[in-house]
Amino acid sequence: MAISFREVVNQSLQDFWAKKIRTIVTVMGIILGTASIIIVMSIVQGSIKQTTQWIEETGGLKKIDVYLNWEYNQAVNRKKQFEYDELKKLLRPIQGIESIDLNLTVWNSTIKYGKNDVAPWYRAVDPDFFKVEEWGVQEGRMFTEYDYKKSNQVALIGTNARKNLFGSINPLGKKIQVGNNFLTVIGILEYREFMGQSDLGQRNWLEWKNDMVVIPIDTSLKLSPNYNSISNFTILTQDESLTESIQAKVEKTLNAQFNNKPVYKTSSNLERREEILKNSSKFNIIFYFISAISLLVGGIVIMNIMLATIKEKTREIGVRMSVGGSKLDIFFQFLIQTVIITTLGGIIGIFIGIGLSDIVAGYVNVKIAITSNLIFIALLMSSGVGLIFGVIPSWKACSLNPVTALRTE
Amino acid sequence: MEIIQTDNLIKTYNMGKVQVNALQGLEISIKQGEFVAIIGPSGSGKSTLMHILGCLDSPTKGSYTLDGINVEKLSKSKLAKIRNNKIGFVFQTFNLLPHINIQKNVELPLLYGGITGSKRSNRAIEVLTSVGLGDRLKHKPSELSGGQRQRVAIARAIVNNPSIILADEPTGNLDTTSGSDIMSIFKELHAKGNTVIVVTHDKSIADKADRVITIVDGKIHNGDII
Repeated sequence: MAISFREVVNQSLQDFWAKKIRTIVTVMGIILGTASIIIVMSIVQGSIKQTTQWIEETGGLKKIDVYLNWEYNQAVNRKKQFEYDELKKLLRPIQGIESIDLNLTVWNSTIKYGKNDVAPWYRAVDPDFFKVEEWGVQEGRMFTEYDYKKSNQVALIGTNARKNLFGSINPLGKKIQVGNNFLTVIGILEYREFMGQSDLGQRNWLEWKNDMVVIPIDTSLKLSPNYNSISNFTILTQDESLTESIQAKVEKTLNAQFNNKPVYKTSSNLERREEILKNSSKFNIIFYFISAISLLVGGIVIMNIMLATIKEKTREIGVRMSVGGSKLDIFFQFLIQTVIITTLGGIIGIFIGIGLSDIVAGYVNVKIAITSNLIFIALLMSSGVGLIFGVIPSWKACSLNPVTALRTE
Repeated sequence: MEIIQTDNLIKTYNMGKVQVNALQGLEISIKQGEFVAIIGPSGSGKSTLMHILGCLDSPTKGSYTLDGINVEKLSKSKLAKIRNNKIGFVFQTFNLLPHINIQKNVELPLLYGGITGSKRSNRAIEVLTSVGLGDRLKHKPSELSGGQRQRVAIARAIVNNPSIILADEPTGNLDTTSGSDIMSIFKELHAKGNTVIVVTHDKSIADKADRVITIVDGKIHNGDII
C-alpha cells in the first residue's frame, strides 16, 4: 500500500466533514449501541462493586452469622438461648475461630447526660467485638483488660451519641447515666460510613453504629445480670478458606445441644457473594446478547450506507485508480474510513453513555462504576463493527474495473 | 527509442451473445518525445486503445511494451504502479475530485506514489504554477472554468513526470479558445521533451500533432478517411 495510514485518516475526516449530517446519521446506531453498553454495564458494575464493598465493610469473607432458625422455632425461649460463658466454652474446641462478637444488646436502661438522652440500649462487649467489627476509638482510649476484670464503670460512645448527649461539650471523663448507674465516657468510637441507596436516596447504611453506646461485658453483667442470653452472634474466622467448614462445625456443635434439631443456623458472605456473582453473570450474558444485536443493527446500517457511498463515488474510485491507486489502496481507504466512523461513533457513544448513566444513576438511585476496562470493551466493539461490516463494501469498491468506473456518471 | 510498442493487439468484448471486436490486431509504435494524435470515428476502437495504452485495461491478445516493460503480463497492483509513475491521463470530462481543492487534486498521484509532506505540496504548487493556476491553489474545481479545469487535469497528469501523457478528447468539452489554449500547453510539453498522445475525432486538433495515426474498425488505416 503506497498511501500512508495518516493520509487515509485525513482524507476520511475531510469526507466526514463534507457530509456531516450523513455521517451522524450513519453512526447513530453505533452511538446509541455504545451508549447503551456503557449505561447498562456501568450500572451492573456499580452494583457488583457496591455489594463487594458492603461485604468487605461487614467483615469480608471471614465472617459467619449465627442465629436462631426462625422457620423452625415458633417462639424463642430462654432454653434455646445461651449464656455468655456457656457459649464461649461451647465454641472453644472449634479450631480456626479468630473471635466471636456476642451481639449482646441491653435494652432496659435510659441513657442520658443531663437533660439529653439517646435510644435506651447499649452493647455489652468483650475484646472480640472490636476485632470482628475492626473498630477502634478516634478520641480517648479503649477498654483495657483491667476495665473488664474490675467491671469498671466505663463506656465508649459513637459520634452520633456524642452529639446527642453532649453537643459541643467535651465528653471525655464525663459521666453518663445508664439506668441508675453512672458510667464514665473514656473514648469516642470511630465514625462509620457506607453510602448505599435506599428508597429515600443515598444513605449511610452504618449510621446506627454511630448511635452506639458500648460498655464492657463484665460491667454489664454486674449492672444488669438478667441480660445474659444470646441468640445471635458473629464469628470471625482466621482465614477465608476456613469459613465453610467452621460454619458447619458451629451449626453442629450448637444443635447438638438440642438433639440435633435445626435450632441454630449460620450464613456467611461467601454464600451471599456467590449468589450475587451467579446472578450478575446471568445478567451479563443476556446483556451482551442484547448489545450484540443492537451493534449488529448498527453495523448493517453502516454497511448499507457505505455501499451507497461507494456507488456514489464510483467515478472517484475510477479517478483514484487511474492516477495510481492500487486495489489495496482503495480497499483500505474504505475499510479504514468505516472503522474510523464507527470508532468515532463509539467515542461519542461512550461520552453520551457516561453522561446518561450519571443521569440514570441519579434518577433511579443506583451507584455506577465506569471502569477503563468497560470503556476499552465498548471502543473495541465499535471499531470491530466497522472492521467487520466495512469489508464487503470496501471489497466491492476495490474490485471495480477502472474503465467502467471512469465511465460512470 | 520506442516508448510504446504494441504487437497484434486484440480486444474483444462479450456483450451477452454478441462479440464485439474493438481492436483487431493493432500494431503501433511511438518513439520517445513524439507528439502523436490518434484519430478515428466514434466506435473505431480508439478509446479502447487509449485504455490499454494507459494500463487501465488489458488486451485480450497480443503484447504491449511500455518503456521497455511487457505490460500485459503484469499484476493489477503493478499496473497501478505503472499508471502512477509512467502515465499521465487527461480526460475529456477532466475527472477532478469535486470535494477537494485543486492542489489536493494535483497531489493525488504523488500521494499514491508515497511522496509526503512539503515535498508533495511544493511539487503540486510548482506544476500548477507552470500551467498558470498558481493563484488558485485552494479553489475547488467547481469554482474554475472548463479550460482552467483541464489545465488542472494536465498538471495532475504531469506531476509525477510520467513517460507518456495520454489525452482522451482533451478539448471535447471546451470552447475553441480554451481548446487551443490546452493544445498549446500540450505542444509546450512536447517541446520540453515529453511524449504526448492525444486521442481525438477532431481533424483540426490532430493536425497540431507531429504524426497522425488513423484507426478504423480496430485497425490502423493507411490513407485518408473518406
